[in-house]
Amino acid sequence: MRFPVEKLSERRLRIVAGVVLLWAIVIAGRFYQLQVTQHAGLKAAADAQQQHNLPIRVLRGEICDRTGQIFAISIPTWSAVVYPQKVKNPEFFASQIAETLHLNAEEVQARLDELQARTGKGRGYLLLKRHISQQEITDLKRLPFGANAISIEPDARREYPNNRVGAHVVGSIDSDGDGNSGLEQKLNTELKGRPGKMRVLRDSLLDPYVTWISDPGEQGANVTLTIQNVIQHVAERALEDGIREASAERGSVVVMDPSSGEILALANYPDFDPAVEKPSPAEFAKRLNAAVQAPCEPGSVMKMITVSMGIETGKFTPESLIYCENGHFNRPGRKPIHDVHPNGTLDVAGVLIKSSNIGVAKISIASGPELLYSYLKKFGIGDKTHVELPGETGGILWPLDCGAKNSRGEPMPCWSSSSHEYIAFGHEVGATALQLARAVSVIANGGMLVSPHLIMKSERPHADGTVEQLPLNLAPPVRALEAQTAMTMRHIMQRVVLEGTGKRAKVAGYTVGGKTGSAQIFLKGKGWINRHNSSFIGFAPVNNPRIVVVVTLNNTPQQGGIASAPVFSKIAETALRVLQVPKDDPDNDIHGMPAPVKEEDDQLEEPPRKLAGKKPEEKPKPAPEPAPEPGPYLLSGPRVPDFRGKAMVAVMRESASLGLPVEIVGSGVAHEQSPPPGELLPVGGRIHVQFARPQ
Amino acid sequence: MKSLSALYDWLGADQPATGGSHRTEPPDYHLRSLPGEEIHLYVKNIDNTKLIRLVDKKDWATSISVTGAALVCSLVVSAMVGPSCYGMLANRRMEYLREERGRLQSQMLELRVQEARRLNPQHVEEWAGTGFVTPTADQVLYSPPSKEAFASLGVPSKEDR
Repeated sequence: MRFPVEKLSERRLRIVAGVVLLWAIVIAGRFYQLQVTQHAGLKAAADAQQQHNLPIRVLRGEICDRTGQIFAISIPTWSAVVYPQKVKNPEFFASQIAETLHLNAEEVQARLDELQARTGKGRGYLLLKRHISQQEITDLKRLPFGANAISIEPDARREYPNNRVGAHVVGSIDSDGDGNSGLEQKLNTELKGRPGKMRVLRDSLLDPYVTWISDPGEQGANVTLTIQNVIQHVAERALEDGIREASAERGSVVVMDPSSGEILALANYPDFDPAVEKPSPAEFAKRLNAAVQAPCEPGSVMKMITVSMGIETGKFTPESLIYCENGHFNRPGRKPIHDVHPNGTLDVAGVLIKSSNIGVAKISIASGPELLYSYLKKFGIGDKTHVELPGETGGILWPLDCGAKNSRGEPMPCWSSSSHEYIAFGHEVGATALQLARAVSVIANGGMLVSPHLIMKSERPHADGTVEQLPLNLAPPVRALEAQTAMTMRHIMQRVVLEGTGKRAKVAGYTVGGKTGSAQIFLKGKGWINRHNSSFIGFAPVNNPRIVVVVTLNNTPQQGGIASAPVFSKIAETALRVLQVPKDDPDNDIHGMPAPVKEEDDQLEEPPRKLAGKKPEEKPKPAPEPAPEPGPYLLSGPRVPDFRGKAMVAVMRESASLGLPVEIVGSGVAHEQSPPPGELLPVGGRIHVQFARPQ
Repeated sequence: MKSLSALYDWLGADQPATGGSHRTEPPDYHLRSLPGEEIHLYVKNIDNTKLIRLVDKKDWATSISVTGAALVCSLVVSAMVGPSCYGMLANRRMEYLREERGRLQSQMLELRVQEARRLNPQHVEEWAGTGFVTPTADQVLYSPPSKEAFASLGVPSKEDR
């Protein structure tokens, strides 16, 4: 028997079950609607809300010198960007944002109004501030409109810790992060890398919690230069001092390893600050890399090639005699060639040492234009060096044959019947400082034409920690001169420094070879003025040159031997010390005191147009340098300390602190020494210390 | 059935007298019966001495199977949910570590820049002032090779050259 209450419960139960079933059907229907009929749209909406395709930030590669000193490096930063179309009240927005980012509210509002008016509240964005601090990011996120109107975008700041040092080599970048000068421009693609792509899932707070990297991208390549930062710094400082002392307008220096073509320093003055992303036109003009972009008449340094040609071809020997016409060389139908200092008969070596225009012109006449042209080409004149710098020029060397046309189809100038006579001493030809460095390297390295280069190593780091070495495309050296000829030329050029026009280029303790050059400047409307492009090319040590240095000072009243040779000396001294090159001439190691130089200089290479029929003007002679007074340490060496009974480390430490040369033999403690304690050490001598084990 | 007062009496029937004398009269503290208050307690003596405990294998198996099923279900659920939960936690941890790595790399780059600024020759010269003189070539010592020398410091003597 069923009670009435049971009937009632059953009915209620059915009602509840019906309601639950109905609810379940509704839910299932809604599920069906969401998951089946609206699946695609809702999935896309969800993906758009939760998933974001973001670029993977790739930092621009580093640029270091050969010792690892950083020249350029990128630091990741953040920038604040605003979307004007999402700003409803520009005045309020500007006031809030300006306070947070320390900007001018009126300027922000004006820019917002302008952009809103221009874009019609459509597309577009405004870069509010670059490289914002962490505190500013935190403050921005606290703003009520931060999530919509403002975006914090990844950015990077390029740092140049060496400031202006090496600026013309390293270059600079613009506000978009692209290089606009130097290696930054030339290697822009490699340094910049390629941004990757990743998909990010964000939670309700917009914090990422899942990341898929769909494309890792490519990191910017790190570049190690052949530049040595100390040599570079000293080269720039010596160049600046030299320009100031010679009242020059600008100048260039190249220091190179002649055997490998590695450029150890490349400097120009005036220099510039690479950190300035938007330079003024005047500042931008300073970014001209004159050492590779501005050729000038080399003057007498070109005689090095002419004399090499004469010796190499066998037409002349260093002892061959040439009559130098007592300074006035008349040829029928042509303008005469002059020497400033009249010479009678000189041997070929003397022609270079005395820098006789007439002497080299006669060598060129005897050899002929075709031979001179081929030797100029062998020394790389007129050809680009293909160094890794933008805008390099090949210099000026007109084709031998007339009728040739340039890339624009215009006829090119060509050699006249007398061109080879003037080109022999550096006129009617133009070369950059880097081309001259390559040319003198032929003499310095035994006759090989090398490829000057700035990049020692280029490597690309990968996300997995591996490093990929990028290939370097270097042309192999080409023989341009016989080794014997190169050796002969080295010793002739050493005499130029010892006896000739390059006395100021001497370096204490080292043998030096070189050649001075001065080319007078011609100005339209003013003719030939008393200003020169003065240069000095040289190498050291003579027997096994480790460096070649080219110094070019433009628009100076002084000539190469006076203006440029001292700059060479300063730079070469530091470079040889930094490179730990052993001294090969300690007899001339006169404790850093400059050798007294008689006031004379190389020939004034004036073109025949001015000198024809005229007597060369007297040059104003600079005041002679006072002879340095030798200190007492030149006459007597230091007293020898007592090393006996001391350990080897103590002896070496003490001798190093006193600057005394010692030689240690044996082991244990110092037993005997020669010279004995208290005696004067002869100049150039060393202390011989015998060590023995105590009994 | 007994009343409450009777129950008290029954409970205290075998208790010794506290005052040394047997109680003859109901104590004064006994509650008086309220009108209509009657509590009837039924006391039944149960004899469990002959009770035998039998093992019910069927119920035991049922219990085990239910417990096992519950365990399996929880394991299945854990296996289904666990990896995704772990993955989510691991992803959050990875994102945190990635962010931390980026922050540390930025710091390292900043420090390298500062180091480079301090090491650049111009800065060294500025700070060293006159106390740091670049040595001239003749002041530099080097070690030339020598046949008998164990070590040497300085320029070569003339007889070595």
